[in-house]
Amino acid sequence: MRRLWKRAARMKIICNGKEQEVAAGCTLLHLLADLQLDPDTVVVECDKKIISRADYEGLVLTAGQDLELIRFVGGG
Amino acid sequence: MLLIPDFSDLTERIASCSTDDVQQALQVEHPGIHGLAALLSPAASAMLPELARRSSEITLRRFGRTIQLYAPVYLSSFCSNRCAYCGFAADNKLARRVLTMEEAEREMDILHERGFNHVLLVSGEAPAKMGVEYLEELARRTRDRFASITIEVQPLSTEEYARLFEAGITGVAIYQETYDRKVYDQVHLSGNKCDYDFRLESPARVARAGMREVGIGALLGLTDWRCEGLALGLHLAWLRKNFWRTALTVSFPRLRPAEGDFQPLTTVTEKDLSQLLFALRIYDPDVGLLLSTREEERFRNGMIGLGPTRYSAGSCTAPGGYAHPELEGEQFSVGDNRTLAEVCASIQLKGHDPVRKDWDSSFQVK
Amino acid sequence: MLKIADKTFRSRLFGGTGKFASAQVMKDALDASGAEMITVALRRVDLANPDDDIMANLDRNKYWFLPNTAGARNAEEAIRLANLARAVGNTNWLKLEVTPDPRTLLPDPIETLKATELLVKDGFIVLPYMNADPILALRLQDVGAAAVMPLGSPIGTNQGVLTRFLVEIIIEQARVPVVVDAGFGAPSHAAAAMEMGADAVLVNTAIAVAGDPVRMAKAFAQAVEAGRTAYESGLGAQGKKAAASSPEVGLDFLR
Repeated sequence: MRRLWKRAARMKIICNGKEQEVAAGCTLLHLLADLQLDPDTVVVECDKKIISRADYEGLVLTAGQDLELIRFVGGG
Repeated sequence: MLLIPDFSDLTERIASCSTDDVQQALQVEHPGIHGLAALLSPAASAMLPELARRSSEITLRRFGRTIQLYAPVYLSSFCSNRCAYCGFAADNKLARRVLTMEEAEREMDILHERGFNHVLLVSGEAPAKMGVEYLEELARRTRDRFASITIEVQPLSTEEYARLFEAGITGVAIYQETYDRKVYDQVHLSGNKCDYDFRLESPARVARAGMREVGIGALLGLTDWRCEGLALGLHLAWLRKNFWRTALTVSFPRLRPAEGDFQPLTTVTEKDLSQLLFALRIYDPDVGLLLSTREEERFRNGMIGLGPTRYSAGSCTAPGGYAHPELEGEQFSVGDNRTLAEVCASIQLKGHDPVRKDWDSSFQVK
Repeated sequence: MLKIADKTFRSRLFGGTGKFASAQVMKDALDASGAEMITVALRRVDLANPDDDIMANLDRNKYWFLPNTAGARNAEEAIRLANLARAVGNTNWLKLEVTPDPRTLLPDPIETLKATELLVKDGFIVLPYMNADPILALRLQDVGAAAVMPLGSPIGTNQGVLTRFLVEIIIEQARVPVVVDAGFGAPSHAAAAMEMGADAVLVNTAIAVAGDPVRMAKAFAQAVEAGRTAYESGLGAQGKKAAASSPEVGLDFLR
């Protein structure tokens, strides 16, 4: 499955402040899988807007998008 | 929602207190409601000097050597209630009157000339004869002359209290008379005042409207004063929790046997009254405690520095009585007939400062 | 039982999840503390270490997560973090922290009040971390805070409840639960706060950095319970010398 889009054309997005290359047409859910992140424990802000979990699958990423991947860490 | 327990519960709580409980309440910083029950108990009656000393210490620390002064202005003797204990009761034969705006202003001017900066406007409860518009108008006319104008009239709505606050009235006294529902029903024979709950909720409406101060009280002589004291403590605590911006005071109107008048249902002696006052002071260091001219000169002089913070002086309880001392129709007869100057002299003699104003209503931002 | 908003808690010790040597130590220490409410912070996922996930180590059926807004310097940042926390954790509970001074991490009262008001309107259950200022506590309560969290001493100082006098006033006045937060260095500090009548305490650093965090967590749990029991039992009066030195008051005037 992954191979299919890895072969496709590449594009650049910003992920947690760093430039990252992904396949064009890649969905948010694909990206999380690729990063080995459990979508249930991560929230994604796309261009400063929080994306609802239900939309992870349908959200097709576009070049230049600014993503923030956030989750709980230890804190007092 | 404030709930006052049944008086049988309160009686039990007070009766179960021992001398040890009283000692404990005298030593801790916050005696709490259990401490108040102990301080009001028969066990504490035997320790009145200890209560007086503690009350005096706390009062001195919180209020310094000061006594605030005020005088009442009776505006109207009309009343649509029949309260068994009151001289203004609707079925009493009495030459009733309501002051015209000019007469009311004249009364206030006289007090102003005598040196009063704080007046308490009092009336019977007859909204048709004396309503919010009247008080609003009077306050607007006189607010510049007085540091504070407070009222003791029929209970009003939050909106009405807010209007009066705008007009320059900064405090409201509204006494439950008795917190015992059964006795309340017995002595309030007819009229709007029969509604115990509406009256009980009135101080909260006053506070909600933004008033700087609300005064509560129980008419002593209707039922067990110890229970009334505990109920007052519960009411104070509830108001403090819910309306922290509002200053609180307690008054201690005491019925005494007098010929032809309503006979008290229970006797409350000066010792009882002083115990009640000391107990409330120890329980609530911040509450203002009022002693009116119902009480005699000897008692009022003796109590200076022991707990009370505010005295009335030179009072006349008939509408128009300052301009026309010959007028009859008083609500109750006064026990201390001294003038303001004489009361001030006694306060100073006791090493205290008679304070005629504590705040200027002109500072209030509308 | 402690009740905050519509939720009840048996334990009055709230745990923090920061500063532990490892996820396993944290898990064991929280277990030993008996805490039911635990705080968590929000950060960007470390893309180099995707497995570093505390959610994976903690059972959300066992612990009630209280996300904080640590790092926010003003109301706007705190609100952004609050919304992220709500999305991550499916919870509207929030420990609001607005700390513009990175040196002391003391909370900004003005921004905290502003953020509390807006977040409450937006449906959050807000527990603001605040300086031990009684009027601020009342103002926060008035705008709908579900509890207030005055500090005992600045975060990480281990000084105990230096704000005792003010915290006592807050406890006396508050209608909402008072959770003393920050500055606990030893179990006796937590016991002292509970004896004053605090509804709960939040402890993180003192447990996380102890030689044996698991046993220290247990010690804090015992201290909190002891302090609470003492409070409920009614502490005896401490000796007062003032009364003896005051002159006798004459009551001869009474009839």
